[in-house]
Amino acid sequence: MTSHVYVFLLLFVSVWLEVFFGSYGILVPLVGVAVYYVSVTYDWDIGLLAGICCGAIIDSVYGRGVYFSSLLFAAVVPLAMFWLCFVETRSVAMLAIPGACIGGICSGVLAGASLLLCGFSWDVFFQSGAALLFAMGAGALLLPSSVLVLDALAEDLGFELFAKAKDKLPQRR
Amino acid sequence: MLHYPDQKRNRKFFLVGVALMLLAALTVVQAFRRATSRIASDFFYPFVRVSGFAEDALSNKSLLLEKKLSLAAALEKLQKENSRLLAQTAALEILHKENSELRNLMKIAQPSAAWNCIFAEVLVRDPVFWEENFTINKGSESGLVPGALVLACVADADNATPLPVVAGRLSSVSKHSAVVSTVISKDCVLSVRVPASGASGIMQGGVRDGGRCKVSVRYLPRSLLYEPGQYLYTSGLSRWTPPGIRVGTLYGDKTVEGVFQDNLHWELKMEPAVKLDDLHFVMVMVAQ
Repeated sequence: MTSHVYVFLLLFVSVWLEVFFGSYGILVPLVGVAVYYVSVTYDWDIGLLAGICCGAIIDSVYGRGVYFSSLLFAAVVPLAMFWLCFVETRSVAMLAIPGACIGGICSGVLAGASLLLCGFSWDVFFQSGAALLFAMGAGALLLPSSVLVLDALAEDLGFELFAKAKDKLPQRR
Repeated sequence: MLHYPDQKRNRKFFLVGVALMLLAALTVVQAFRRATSRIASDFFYPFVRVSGFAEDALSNKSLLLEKKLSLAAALEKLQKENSRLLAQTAALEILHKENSELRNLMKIAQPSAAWNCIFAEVLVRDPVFWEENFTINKGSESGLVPGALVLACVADADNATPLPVVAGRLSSVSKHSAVVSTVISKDCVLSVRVPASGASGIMQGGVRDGGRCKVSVRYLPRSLLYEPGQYLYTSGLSRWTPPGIRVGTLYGDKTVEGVFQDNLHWELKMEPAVKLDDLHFVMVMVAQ
Protein backbone atom coordinates (compact mmCIF):
# COMPACT_ATOMS: atom_id res chain seq x y z
CA MET A 1 0.00 0.00 0.00
CA THR A 2 2.82 2.41 0.91
CA SER A 3 4.46 1.74 -2.43
CA HIS A 4 1.20 2.73 -4.15
CA VAL A 5 1.31 6.09 -2.36
CA TYR A 6 4.96 6.44 -3.42
CA VAL A 7 4.04 5.74 -7.06
CA PHE A 8 1.13 8.21 -6.84
CA LEU A 9 3.39 10.94 -5.43
CA LEU A 10 6.08 10.23 -8.01
CA LEU A 11 3.59 10.55 -10.87
CA PHE A 12 1.91 13.59 -9.31
CA VAL A 13 5.23 15.44 -9.00
CA SER A 14 6.23 14.51 -12.54
CA VAL A 15 2.88 15.77 -13.94
CA TRP A 16 3.18 18.97 -11.94
CA LEU A 17 6.76 19.60 -13.09
CA GLU A 18 5.92 18.82 -16.72
CA VAL A 19 3.04 21.32 -16.62
CA PHE A 20 5.25 23.85 -14.83
CA PHE A 21 8.02 23.66 -17.45
CA GLY A 22 5.45 23.42 -20.25
CA SER A 23 3.97 26.77 -19.19
CA TYR A 24 7.34 28.33 -19.97
CA GLY A 25 7.39 26.63 -23.38
CA ILE A 26 9.79 23.84 -22.39
CA LEU A 27 8.69 20.35 -23.36
CA VAL A 28 10.39 17.97 -20.91
CA PRO A 29 9.26 14.31 -21.01
CA LEU A 30 9.11 13.93 -17.22
CA VAL A 31 5.90 11.90 -17.14
CA GLY A 32 7.19 9.58 -19.86
CA VAL A 33 10.29 8.95 -17.77
CA ALA A 34 8.18 8.35 -14.64
CA VAL A 35 5.91 5.91 -16.52
CA TYR A 36 9.01 4.06 -17.78
CA TYR A 37 10.39 3.84 -14.24
CA VAL A 38 7.08 2.58 -12.82
CA SER A 39 6.62 0.06 -15.65
CA VAL A 40 10.05 -1.46 -15.09
CA THR A 41 10.18 -1.27 -11.30
CA TYR A 42 6.62 -2.38 -10.51
CA ASP A 43 4.94 -3.93 -13.53
CA TRP A 44 3.71 -3.04 -16.97
CA ASP A 45 0.02 -3.08 -15.95
CA ILE A 46 0.63 -0.43 -13.28
CA GLY A 47 2.70 1.54 -15.80
CA LEU A 48 -0.09 1.33 -18.38
CA LEU A 49 -2.75 2.56 -15.96
CA ALA A 50 -0.43 5.31 -14.69
CA GLY A 51 0.40 6.41 -18.25
CA ILE A 52 -3.23 6.63 -19.31
CA CYS A 53 -4.28 8.54 -16.18
CA CYS A 54 -1.32 10.95 -16.34
CA GLY A 55 -1.93 11.55 -20.05
CA ALA A 56 -5.58 12.39 -19.42
CA ILE A 57 -4.61 14.79 -16.63
CA ILE A 58 -1.94 16.56 -18.69
CA ASP A 59 -4.26 17.00 -21.69
CA SER A 60 -7.01 18.27 -19.38
CA VAL A 61 -4.78 20.79 -17.63
CA TYR A 62 -3.43 22.04 -20.98
CA GLY A 63 -6.98 22.27 -22.33
CA ARG A 64 -6.30 20.17 -25.42
CA GLY A 65 -9.26 19.19 -27.53
CA VAL A 66 -7.82 15.81 -28.50
CA TYR A 67 -6.36 13.47 -25.88
CA PHE A 68 -3.01 12.39 -27.36
CA SER A 69 -0.92 12.04 -24.25
CA SER A 70 -2.67 8.96 -22.83
CA LEU A 71 -1.74 7.02 -25.97
CA LEU A 72 1.80 8.39 -25.95
CA PHE A 73 2.46 7.42 -22.35
CA ALA A 74 0.84 4.04 -22.97
CA ALA A 75 3.35 3.61 -25.83
CA VAL A 76 6.21 4.09 -23.36
CA VAL A 77 5.20 0.84 -21.58
CA PRO A 78 6.07 -1.58 -24.46
CA LEU A 79 9.37 0.27 -24.89
CA ALA A 80 10.12 -0.21 -21.18
CA MET A 81 9.26 -3.92 -21.31
CA PHE A 82 11.28 -4.46 -24.48
CA TRP A 83 14.31 -2.81 -22.93
CA LEU A 84 13.88 -4.75 -19.70
CA CYS A 85 13.44 -8.15 -21.35
CA PHE A 86 15.76 -8.00 -24.33
CA VAL A 87 18.46 -5.42 -23.61
CA GLU A 88 21.04 -5.16 -20.86
CA THR A 89 19.71 -2.90 -18.11
CA ARG A 90 22.59 -3.04 -15.64
CA SER A 91 24.30 -0.07 -17.23
CA VAL A 92 22.64 3.17 -16.20
CA ALA A 93 24.34 5.11 -19.02
CA MET A 94 22.70 2.80 -21.59
CA LEU A 95 19.33 4.11 -20.35
CA ALA A 96 20.07 7.27 -22.31
CA ILE A 97 18.85 5.39 -25.42
CA PRO A 98 15.32 4.60 -24.18
CA GLY A 99 15.34 8.06 -22.57
CA ALA A 100 15.88 9.66 -25.99
CA CYS A 101 13.18 7.36 -27.42
CA ILE A 102 10.74 8.53 -24.72
CA GLY A 103 11.50 12.15 -25.65
CA GLY A 104 10.94 11.27 -29.30
CA ILE A 105 7.64 9.48 -28.60
CA CYS A 106 6.29 12.21 -26.33
CA SER A 107 7.23 15.24 -28.40
CA GLY A 108 7.41 13.80 -31.92
CA VAL A 109 3.79 12.72 -32.09
CA LEU A 110 2.62 15.95 -30.46
CA ALA A 111 4.66 18.00 -32.92
CA GLY A 112 3.13 16.00 -35.77
CA ALA A 113 -0.33 16.55 -34.35
CA SER A 114 0.40 20.27 -34.06
CA LEU A 115 1.35 20.34 -37.77
CA LEU A 116 -1.75 18.40 -38.75
CA LEU A 117 -4.24 20.29 -36.62
CA CYS A 118 -2.91 23.81 -37.04
CA GLY A 119 -1.92 23.57 -40.68
CA PHE A 120 1.52 22.96 -42.14
CA SER A 121 4.02 25.80 -42.25
CA TRP A 122 7.83 25.72 -42.31
CA ASP A 123 7.90 27.91 -39.22
CA VAL A 124 5.95 25.34 -37.18
CA PHE A 125 7.94 22.50 -38.79
CA PHE A 126 11.32 23.90 -37.66
CA GLN A 127 9.97 24.83 -34.23
CA SER A 128 8.59 21.31 -33.79
CA GLY A 129 11.90 19.82 -34.97
CA ALA A 130 13.82 21.88 -32.42
CA ALA A 131 11.36 20.85 -29.67
CA LEU A 132 11.75 17.20 -30.70
CA LEU A 133 15.56 17.35 -30.51
CA PHE A 134 15.40 19.13 -27.16
CA ALA A 135 12.95 16.58 -25.75
CA MET A 136 15.13 13.68 -26.95
CA GLY A 137 18.21 15.23 -25.35
CA ALA A 138 16.31 15.95 -22.15
CA GLY A 139 14.95 12.39 -22.07
CA ALA A 140 18.44 10.95 -22.61
CA LEU A 141 19.70 12.91 -19.61
CA LEU A 142 16.63 12.55 -17.44
CA LEU A 143 16.05 8.79 -17.53
CA PRO A 144 19.48 7.69 -16.20
CA SER A 145 19.60 10.48 -13.63
CA SER A 146 16.02 9.82 -12.49
CA VAL A 147 16.75 6.11 -12.11
CA LEU A 148 19.77 6.90 -9.94
CA VAL A 149 17.90 9.38 -7.75
CA LEU A 150 14.67 7.37 -7.46
CA ASP A 151 16.49 4.10 -6.76
CA ALA A 152 18.52 5.77 -4.01
CA LEU A 153 15.27 7.09 -2.52
CA ALA A 154 13.47 3.76 -2.92
CA GLU A 155 16.36 1.92 -1.25
CA ASP A 156 16.14 4.19 1.79
CA LEU A 157 12.38 3.78 1.92
CA GLY A 158 12.51 0.03 1.42
CA PHE A 159 10.60 -0.06 -1.88
CA GLU A 160 11.26 -2.10 -4.99
CA LEU A 161 14.27 -1.07 -7.05
CA PHE A 162 14.64 -0.42 -10.76
CA ALA A 163 18.09 -2.02 -10.64
CA LYS A 164 16.64 -5.33 -9.45
CA ALA A 165 13.73 -5.42 -11.89
CA LYS A 166 15.46 -7.84 -14.27
CA ASP A 167 16.13 -10.31 -11.45
CA LYS A 168 12.45 -10.27 -10.49
CA LEU A 169 11.26 -10.77 -14.04
CA PRO A 170 10.65 -14.57 -13.71
CA GLN A 171 8.50 -13.98 -10.59
CA ARG A 172 6.33 -11.50 -12.47
CA ARG A 173 5.56 -14.06 -15.14
CA MET B 1 -4.64 -12.49 4.29
CA LEU B 2 -5.77 -14.99 1.68
CA HIS B 3 -3.56 -15.59 -1.36
CA TYR B 4 -5.13 -17.09 -4.44
CA PRO B 5 -2.85 -18.72 -6.99
CA ASP B 6 -4.17 -16.60 -9.83
CA GLN B 7 -4.40 -13.40 -7.79
CA LYS B 8 -1.55 -11.73 -9.70
CA ARG B 9 -3.09 -12.60 -13.05
CA ASN B 10 -6.47 -11.27 -11.92
CA ARG B 11 -4.88 -8.02 -10.80
CA LYS B 12 -3.25 -7.66 -14.21
CA PHE B 13 -6.57 -8.27 -15.99
CA PHE B 14 -8.29 -5.79 -13.71
CA LEU B 15 -5.70 -3.00 -14.16
CA VAL B 16 -5.43 -3.47 -17.92
CA GLY B 17 -9.23 -3.54 -18.18
CA VAL B 18 -9.53 -0.32 -16.20
CA ALA B 19 -6.78 1.30 -18.29
CA LEU B 20 -8.38 0.30 -21.60
CA MET B 21 -11.84 1.38 -20.45
CA LEU B 22 -10.43 4.75 -19.40
CA LEU B 23 -8.72 5.15 -22.75
CA ALA B 24 -11.87 4.21 -24.66
CA ALA B 25 -14.03 6.52 -22.55
CA LEU B 26 -11.61 9.42 -23.03
CA THR B 27 -11.48 8.87 -26.76
CA VAL B 28 -15.18 8.28 -27.41
CA VAL B 29 -17.34 9.84 -24.67
CA GLN B 30 -17.20 13.62 -24.82
CA ALA B 31 -19.07 14.07 -21.53
CA PHE B 32 -16.47 11.92 -19.75
CA ARG B 33 -13.69 13.98 -21.33
CA ARG B 34 -15.34 17.19 -20.14
CA ALA B 35 -15.81 15.83 -16.63
CA THR B 36 -12.17 14.66 -16.51
CA SER B 37 -11.06 18.05 -17.74
CA ARG B 38 -13.01 19.89 -15.02
CA ILE B 39 -11.86 17.59 -12.23
CA ALA B 40 -8.20 17.64 -13.31
CA SER B 41 -8.17 21.43 -13.81
CA ASP B 42 -9.69 22.11 -10.40
CA PHE B 43 -7.51 19.54 -8.65
CA PHE B 44 -4.32 20.91 -10.18
CA TYR B 45 -5.30 24.57 -9.86
CA PRO B 46 -3.57 25.27 -6.50
CA PHE B 47 -0.42 23.45 -7.57
CA VAL B 48 -0.19 25.21 -10.91
CA ARG B 49 -0.88 28.52 -9.18
CA VAL B 50 2.20 28.03 -6.96
CA SER B 51 4.56 29.26 -9.67
CA GLY B 52 2.38 32.35 -10.17
CA PHE B 53 2.46 33.11 -6.44
CA ALA B 54 6.25 32.74 -6.43
CA GLU B 55 6.58 35.09 -9.41
CA ASP B 56 4.28 37.68 -7.79
CA ALA B 57 6.16 37.50 -4.51
CA LEU B 58 9.48 37.89 -6.31
CA SER B 59 8.32 40.85 -8.37
CA ASN B 60 6.88 42.50 -5.23
CA LYS B 61 10.17 42.04 -3.42
CA SER B 62 12.12 43.31 -6.41
CA LEU B 63 10.15 46.57 -6.16
CA LEU B 64 11.96 47.21 -2.88
CA LEU B 65 15.23 47.25 -4.80
CA GLU B 66 14.08 50.13 -6.99
CA LYS B 67 15.21 53.65 -6.18
CA LYS B 68 12.76 55.98 -4.46
CA LEU B 69 12.95 58.50 -7.31
CA SER B 70 12.15 55.96 -10.02
CA LEU B 71 9.23 54.61 -7.93
CA ALA B 72 7.90 58.14 -7.42
CA ALA B 73 8.21 58.80 -11.17
CA ALA B 74 6.33 55.59 -11.98
CA LEU B 75 3.61 56.50 -9.46
CA GLU B 76 3.24 59.97 -10.96
CA LYS B 77 2.98 58.48 -14.46
CA LEU B 78 0.28 56.07 -13.30
CA GLN B 79 -1.65 58.87 -11.58
CA LYS B 80 -1.59 60.91 -14.80
CA GLU B 81 -2.78 57.88 -16.79
CA ASN B 82 -5.53 57.30 -14.22
CA SER B 83 -6.71 60.91 -14.51
CA ARG B 84 -6.75 60.67 -18.32
CA LEU B 85 -8.80 57.46 -18.19
CA LEU B 86 -11.22 59.01 -15.66
CA ALA B 87 -11.77 61.97 -17.99
CA GLN B 88 -12.34 59.59 -20.92
CA THR B 89 -14.84 57.55 -18.89
CA ALA B 90 -16.74 60.70 -17.92
CA ALA B 91 -16.91 61.76 -21.59
CA LEU B 92 -18.15 58.30 -22.56
CA GLU B 93 -20.78 58.44 -19.82
CA ILE B 94 -22.17 61.65 -21.35
CA LEU B 95 -22.19 60.02 -24.80
CA HIS B 96 -23.95 56.98 -23.36
CA LYS B 97 -26.67 59.15 -21.82
CA GLU B 98 -27.11 61.09 -25.07
CA ASN B 99 -27.32 57.83 -26.98
CA SER B 100 -30.00 56.50 -24.62
CA GLU B 101 -32.04 59.71 -24.92
CA LEU B 102 -31.81 59.67 -28.71
CA ARG B 103 -32.80 56.01 -28.80
CA ASN B 104 -35.83 56.86 -26.65
CA LEU B 105 -36.79 59.77 -28.91
CA MET B 106 -36.41 57.65 -32.04
CA LYS B 107 -38.15 54.73 -30.32
CA ILE B 108 -35.22 52.38 -30.95
CA ALA B 109 -34.77 49.55 -28.45
CA GLN B 110 -31.88 49.88 -26.02
CA PRO B 111 -28.95 47.48 -26.59
CA SER B 112 -29.83 44.27 -24.77
CA ALA B 113 -26.46 43.22 -23.38
CA ALA B 114 -24.36 44.93 -20.76
CA TRP B 115 -20.86 43.61 -20.21
CA ASN B 116 -19.06 42.50 -17.14
CA CYS B 117 -15.27 42.73 -17.50
CA ILE B 118 -13.22 40.19 -15.56
CA PHE B 119 -9.43 40.43 -15.47
CA ALA B 120 -7.43 37.22 -15.42
CA GLU B 121 -3.86 36.01 -15.58
CA VAL B 122 -2.52 33.34 -17.90
CA LEU B 123 -2.03 30.26 -15.72
CA VAL B 124 -0.89 27.45 -18.02
CA ARG B 125 0.29 27.39 -21.62
CA ASP B 126 0.62 24.30 -23.73
CA PRO B 127 4.16 24.04 -25.17
CA VAL B 128 2.84 22.19 -28.23
CA PHE B 129 -0.20 24.35 -28.99
CA TRP B 130 1.38 27.54 -27.59
CA GLU B 131 -0.59 29.93 -29.78
CA GLU B 132 -3.79 27.91 -30.07
CA ASN B 133 -4.96 27.79 -26.47
CA PHE B 134 -4.07 28.69 -22.90
CA THR B 135 -5.59 28.44 -19.44
CA ILE B 136 -6.48 31.44 -17.26
CA ASN B 137 -6.79 31.65 -13.49
CA LYS B 138 -10.50 32.57 -13.33
CA GLY B 139 -13.42 30.21 -13.73
CA SER B 140 -17.14 29.82 -13.20
CA GLU B 141 -16.71 31.00 -9.60
CA SER B 142 -15.75 34.43 -11.00
CA GLY B 143 -18.70 34.43 -13.37
CA LEU B 144 -17.03 33.18 -16.55
CA VAL B 145 -19.12 31.24 -19.06
CA PRO B 146 -18.06 29.26 -22.15
CA GLY B 147 -18.12 31.34 -25.32
CA ALA B 148 -17.25 34.65 -23.61
CA LEU B 149 -14.91 36.94 -25.54
CA VAL B 150 -11.33 37.30 -24.29
CA LEU B 151 -9.42 40.53 -24.88
CA ALA B 152 -5.77 41.46 -24.50
CA CYS B 153 -4.09 44.84 -24.60
CA VAL B 154 -1.61 45.77 -27.31
CA ALA B 155 0.09 49.06 -28.09
CA ASP B 156 -1.84 50.80 -30.86
CA ALA B 157 0.45 51.44 -33.83
CA ASP B 158 -1.29 54.74 -34.62
CA ASN B 159 -0.93 56.58 -31.32
CA ALA B 160 1.01 54.16 -29.06
CA THR B 161 -1.80 53.92 -26.48
CA PRO B 162 -2.94 50.55 -25.11
CA LEU B 163 -5.75 49.10 -27.20
CA PRO B 164 -7.96 46.14 -26.26
CA VAL B 165 -8.05 43.57 -29.07
CA VAL B 166 -9.64 40.14 -29.38
CA ALA B 167 -7.43 37.31 -28.11
CA GLY B 168 -9.97 34.47 -28.35
CA ARG B 169 -12.99 32.89 -26.72
CA LEU B 170 -13.51 30.68 -23.69
CA SER B 171 -13.87 27.12 -24.88
CA SER B 172 -14.32 25.44 -21.50
CA VAL B 173 -14.76 26.67 -17.96
CA SER B 174 -14.11 24.88 -14.68
CA LYS B 175 -14.63 26.22 -11.17
CA HIS B 176 -11.26 28.00 -10.81
CA SER B 177 -9.86 28.10 -14.32
CA ALA B 178 -10.92 28.39 -17.95
CA VAL B 179 -9.42 27.40 -21.29
CA VAL B 180 -9.15 30.09 -23.96
CA SER B 181 -9.15 29.12 -27.64
CA THR B 182 -7.22 31.89 -29.34
CA VAL B 183 -8.11 33.58 -32.61
CA ILE B 184 -5.90 31.18 -34.57
CA SER B 185 -7.56 28.11 -33.07
CA LYS B 186 -10.23 26.35 -35.14
CA ASP B 187 -12.45 26.31 -32.03
CA CYS B 188 -12.69 30.10 -32.04
CA VAL B 189 -15.40 31.16 -34.49
CA LEU B 190 -16.22 34.84 -34.60
CA SER B 191 -18.40 37.09 -36.71
CA VAL B 192 -16.35 40.05 -37.95
CA ARG B 193 -16.89 43.08 -40.16
CA VAL B 194 -14.62 45.23 -42.32
CA PRO B 195 -16.01 48.77 -41.91
CA ALA B 196 -13.82 50.18 -44.71
CA SER B 197 -15.47 47.80 -47.19
CA GLY B 198 -18.80 47.44 -45.44
CA ALA B 199 -18.44 43.65 -45.45
CA SER B 200 -19.12 41.01 -42.81
CA GLY B 201 -17.59 37.55 -42.57
CA ILE B 202 -16.82 34.63 -40.31
CA MET B 203 -13.37 34.17 -38.83
CA GLN B 204 -12.23 30.62 -38.06
CA GLY B 205 -8.85 28.94 -37.75
CA GLY B 206 -5.41 30.01 -38.81
CA VAL B 207 -1.80 29.00 -39.28
CA ARG B 208 1.57 30.28 -38.21
CA ASP B 209 3.78 31.21 -41.13
CA GLY B 210 7.20 32.82 -40.91
CA GLY B 211 6.61 34.01 -37.36
CA ARG B 212 3.27 35.59 -38.32
CA CYS B 213 -0.21 34.24 -37.80
CA LYS B 214 -2.70 34.16 -40.65
CA VAL B 215 -6.36 33.61 -39.84
CA SER B 216 -9.03 32.74 -42.41
CA VAL B 217 -12.02 35.05 -42.79
CA ARG B 218 -14.75 33.42 -44.85
CA TYR B 219 -18.01 34.43 -46.50
CA LEU B 220 -16.87 37.95 -47.41
CA PRO B 221 -19.05 39.29 -50.26
CA ARG B 222 -17.41 38.98 -53.65
CA SER B 223 -18.73 42.27 -54.98
CA LEU B 224 -16.90 44.47 -52.44
CA LEU B 225 -13.31 45.77 -52.56
CA TYR B 226 -10.72 44.80 -49.99
CA GLU B 227 -7.27 46.23 -49.36
CA PRO B 228 -4.38 45.04 -47.23
CA GLY B 229 -4.24 46.71 -43.84
CA GLN B 230 -7.99 47.28 -43.52
CA TYR B 231 -9.10 46.77 -39.93
CA LEU B 232 -11.49 44.01 -38.89
CA TYR B 233 -13.76 44.43 -35.87
CA THR B 234 -16.23 42.20 -34.05
CA SER B 235 -19.66 42.56 -35.60
CA GLY B 236 -21.64 42.06 -32.38
CA LEU B 237 -24.18 39.89 -34.17
CA SER B 238 -23.94 37.30 -31.40
CA ARG B 239 -25.20 38.22 -27.93
CA TRP B 240 -21.92 36.84 -26.50
CA THR B 241 -19.78 39.30 -28.41
CA PRO B 242 -19.66 43.07 -27.98
CA PRO B 243 -19.37 44.98 -31.27
CA GLY B 244 -16.51 47.19 -32.45
CA ILE B 245 -13.53 45.47 -30.88
CA ARG B 246 -10.51 45.21 -33.13
CA VAL B 247 -9.65 41.69 -34.27
CA GLY B 248 -6.89 42.27 -36.82
CA THR B 249 -6.01 43.58 -40.27
CA LEU B 250 -6.39 42.11 -43.75
CA TYR B 251 -3.18 40.44 -44.81
CA GLY B 252 -1.38 40.97 -48.07
CA ASP B 253 1.48 42.76 -49.80
CA LYS B 254 -0.11 44.87 -52.54
CA THR B 255 -3.37 42.97 -52.80
CA VAL B 256 -5.19 40.96 -50.17
CA GLU B 257 -4.25 37.30 -49.84
CA GLY B 258 -7.13 34.90 -50.31
CA VAL B 259 -9.17 32.62 -52.53
CA PHE B 260 -12.65 32.44 -53.97
CA GLN B 261 -14.98 30.20 -52.06
CA ASP B 262 -17.58 28.30 -54.12
CA ASN B 263 -17.28 31.11 -56.68
CA LEU B 264 -19.50 33.16 -54.39
CA HIS B 265 -17.45 34.52 -51.51
CA TRP B 266 -13.92 35.59 -50.69
CA GLU B 267 -11.88 33.73 -48.12
CA LEU B 268 -9.21 36.22 -47.08
CA LYS B 269 -6.30 36.05 -44.68
CA MET B 270 -6.19 38.27 -41.64
CA GLU B 271 -3.30 39.05 -39.33
CA PRO B 272 -4.58 39.08 -35.74
CA ALA B 273 -3.89 42.21 -33.72
CA VAL B 274 -3.10 40.26 -30.56
CA LYS B 275 0.48 39.21 -29.83
CA LEU B 276 0.03 35.61 -28.73
CA ASP B 277 3.71 34.92 -28.10
CA ASP B 278 3.91 37.09 -25.05
CA LEU B 279 0.59 37.17 -23.24
CA HIS B 280 0.29 37.44 -19.46
CA PHE B 281 -2.99 39.19 -18.65
CA VAL B 282 -6.36 39.12 -20.36
CA MET B 283 -9.84 40.55 -19.86
CA VAL B 284 -12.95 38.45 -20.30
CA MET B 285 -16.17 40.15 -21.37
CA VAL B 286 -19.23 38.32 -20.07
CA ALA B 287 -22.73 39.33 -21.12
CA GLN B 288 -24.79 40.20 -18.03
